[in-house]
Amino acid sequence: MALLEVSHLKKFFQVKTGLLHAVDDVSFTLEKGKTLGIVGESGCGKSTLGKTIIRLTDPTSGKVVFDGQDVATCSAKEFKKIQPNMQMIFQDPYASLDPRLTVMELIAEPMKIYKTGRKEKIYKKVHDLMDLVQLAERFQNSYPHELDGGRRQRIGIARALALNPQFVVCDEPVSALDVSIQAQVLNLLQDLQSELQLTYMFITHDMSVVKHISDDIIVMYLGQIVEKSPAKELFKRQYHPYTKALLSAIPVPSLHDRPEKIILEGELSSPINPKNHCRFAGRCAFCTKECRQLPAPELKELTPGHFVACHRSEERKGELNT
Amino acid sequence: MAKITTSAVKKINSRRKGEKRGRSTPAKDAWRRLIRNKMAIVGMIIIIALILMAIFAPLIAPYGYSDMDVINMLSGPSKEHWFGTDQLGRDMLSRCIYGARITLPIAIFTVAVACLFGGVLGILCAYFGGQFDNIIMRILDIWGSIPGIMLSIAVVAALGNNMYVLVIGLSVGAVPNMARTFRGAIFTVVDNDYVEASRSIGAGNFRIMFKHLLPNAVGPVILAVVQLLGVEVLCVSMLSFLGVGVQPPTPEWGSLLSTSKEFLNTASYLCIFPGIFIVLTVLGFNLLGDGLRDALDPRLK
Amino acid sequence: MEEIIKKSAPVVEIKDLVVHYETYDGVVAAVNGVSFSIEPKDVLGLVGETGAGKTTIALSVMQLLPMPPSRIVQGSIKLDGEELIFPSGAKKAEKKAMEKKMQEYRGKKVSMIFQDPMTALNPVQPIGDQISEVIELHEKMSKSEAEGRACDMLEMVGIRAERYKDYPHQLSGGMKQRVVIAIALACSPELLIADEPTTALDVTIQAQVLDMMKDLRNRFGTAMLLITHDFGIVADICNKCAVAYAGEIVEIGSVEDIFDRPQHPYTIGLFDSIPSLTKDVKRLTPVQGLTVDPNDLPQYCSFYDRCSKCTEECKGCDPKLVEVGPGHLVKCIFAHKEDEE
Repeated sequence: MALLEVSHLKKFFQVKTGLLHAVDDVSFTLEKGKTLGIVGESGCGKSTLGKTIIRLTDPTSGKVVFDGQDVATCSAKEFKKIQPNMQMIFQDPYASLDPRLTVMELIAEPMKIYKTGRKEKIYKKVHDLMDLVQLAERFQNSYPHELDGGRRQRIGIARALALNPQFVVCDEPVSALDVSIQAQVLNLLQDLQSELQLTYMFITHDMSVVKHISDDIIVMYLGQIVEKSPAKELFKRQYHPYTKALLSAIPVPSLHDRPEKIILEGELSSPINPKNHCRFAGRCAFCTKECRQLPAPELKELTPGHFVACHRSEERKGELNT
Repeated sequence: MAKITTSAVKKINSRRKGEKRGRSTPAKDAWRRLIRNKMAIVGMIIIIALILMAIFAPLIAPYGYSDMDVINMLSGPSKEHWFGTDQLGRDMLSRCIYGARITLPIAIFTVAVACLFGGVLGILCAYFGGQFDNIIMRILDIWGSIPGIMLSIAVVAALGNNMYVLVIGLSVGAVPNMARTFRGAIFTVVDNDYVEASRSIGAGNFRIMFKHLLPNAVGPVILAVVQLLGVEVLCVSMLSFLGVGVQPPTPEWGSLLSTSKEFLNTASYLCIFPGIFIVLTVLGFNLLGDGLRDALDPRLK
Repeated sequence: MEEIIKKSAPVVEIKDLVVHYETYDGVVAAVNGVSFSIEPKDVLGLVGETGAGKTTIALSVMQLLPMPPSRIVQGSIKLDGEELIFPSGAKKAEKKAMEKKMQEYRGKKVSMIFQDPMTALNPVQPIGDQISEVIELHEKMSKSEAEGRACDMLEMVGIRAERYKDYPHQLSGGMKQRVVIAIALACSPELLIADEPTTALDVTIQAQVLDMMKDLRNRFGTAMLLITHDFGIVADICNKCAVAYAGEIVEIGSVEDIFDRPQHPYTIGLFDSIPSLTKDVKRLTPVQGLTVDPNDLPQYCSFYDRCSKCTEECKGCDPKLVEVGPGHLVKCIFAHKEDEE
């Protein structure tokens, strides 16, 4: 059985000019021990999706079934029991740590809140966690501003693991780090996953990172899923024009084998009060008059395991599969 | 240290050899910057001197504050009476020294009470926002539009003329500003990621407000508190000058000014000395406040 | 052996530049002996991580470093053959005259675009006026002529000229950055310094902006100093590349030199630590350790603590840049000539 099952999740925000569709009808399942990569650009709703799943913000509608229980609609008291199982690693390793607390206090805090044991037991667990994330013990009384980005992010990881969660949402955990440190932290996350049997939801805008770490990938655009497929498959074949453009836009660090760049026209349309047709229509090289009239396309399985939300995918199947 | 040794590098190296490099926390850095500011040190010395003077008044003052030297009534500054005597022969120096025992505690308690009530209101407003914030802020706007002195006089008139009521009256006048200060300070930190991170590990509202937000917003708050202390010293003096709160023969500086004003032409020293004490106190708090603002300015980090 | 037809003067020539930030708590050695030059029409990609000193180098060329706390300890920067740095004994009047000259050069001879487009534009001035402002400052034109040229620039960067009177907040991030680029190129400068110009933009918008920058460069013939941490961008738009670490250039050469035959362990390490879109790798090979502290640089090779190939010999001296191929220099005692493989 899947550890996490999200069905028709929606999160809307009321803003001055209307209703902002941050997350609009997202559904997927996640098996235990796997990593689901959520990729997309700014404004696609991936961060909001992560925060809604662990109920940092209440969903507008939909179900989030974690280990058999719907955490989207349960009471706050019920959720308190499940919360230790669903934790988050945040993007900015400086802003996400209280600058007035030492490393020891930061990592111990979740355990103090949930009263997992006596002081000595908690402090021992902190040392174990620091060991696990390769943070030297001598830093236990340091403050975040005294450490560099890579070490600060390790503190964030240790804090997220303090309550022995099964599921961790990683919200752009390496985006703010230098390239040479990114690799260190990515390796660490992979090691932790196999050692602790963690299930990850890995949110990023960086396609090369998501390819490296995910088993399955979801591509989001303006709050909706446009393509869903196993990671290896997605990089061989992309069925949605946005995914294709996204992939081709990434600057390749090599002088040879440079792919043809698809340059998208125009800008993102507004997520506030969106019209009910394909949200990518204005920028799509393949869009037709019908694409702008028919309601927003649903996610359909085009080939086994590979889903796409595009009106023309069936019709273009032959050309896409070459 | 650096690949090329310049004069600046040599200077830092020699300083570092002498210094013991301690841990650096945001508080320690701010403290170090504060004590480098000469004006702030002057302010601190003044305040500390006044507080010590208040505490050790019986040991420092040459006479009791109501001892009457009947022979030397209204005599100017002399060897026996450095600040002269008033119309009842009481030594001005001793009365000024004992005056600190009245003014300073009232001002300090007033600020403490205003911080407590105003602070809690401000934090709640900034944290919960929305309609709650709107309603409370409008109430505070109305409350704050009444001049503080008038409010204090009204409270004292209603509840009686003693020091405890004076504290209540003064703090009532100071609460709206304090609430706004705390609210503004919390606003600067409430959007930080670590607030969300705390929620994700199960922290409740109370913990977030008082363990995470308040300690990080303390900079502008400390500044406002120190400045308010100076303001309240003036307010206490003003009220006792008007005859509200502290009554003679209690030697509060403001009431000393009040009883001395009829002698402004004949024995002006009776007004000058208490006035100097008031000015010094307010100056001390203001200098300290300015130094604190510079020390806590994050741009200088 | 290439024939040297006619060597024109480099647009900017930096020699042995050393810049320190002097604060009460320490001296940050931001730039430690950097030398390179940019010829006309070159696009030099300056690659490095945080703390490498890239922005400091850029600001030095623009003479926009806040002095104090920064200080150009030594070195020379020649813009179009003219020396910009004064020796420390210079008189105040000379310095003032230089500053006046720099004001004329900024925008006309050398322009800079910064990383964050959100804050680079004046929020209370229409975008068209911000472009015509720089034109009016440097060219002798009437107001309407300047406005006409500003409209042309807008069209060139892909924004309809009708949007002349729009305010920055009405534009998206990508469009704001285009306006910034338009301002920078309005007076056809010889050198454009771009400090991480697309880092704050989404990948698809980044592709649009890079494409436009390539097109404009071809049209105007501007030389560029492109500061970035992304090798992909360097491969896309640059013809030369310099890798910076701890305020020094550790390797410099043509993009072919850097991408196909890198020699410095840091350059190789950087390439190895990037996850690849084409290869399937189980584990990444990061560069071990952490960036060196610029407050506390060693007297020997700054990369020693992180280098996988270092030996005891490396602690004995601070290596100099060594030429391993035409135009390809490496700062390592193990650098070997390319044809000696």
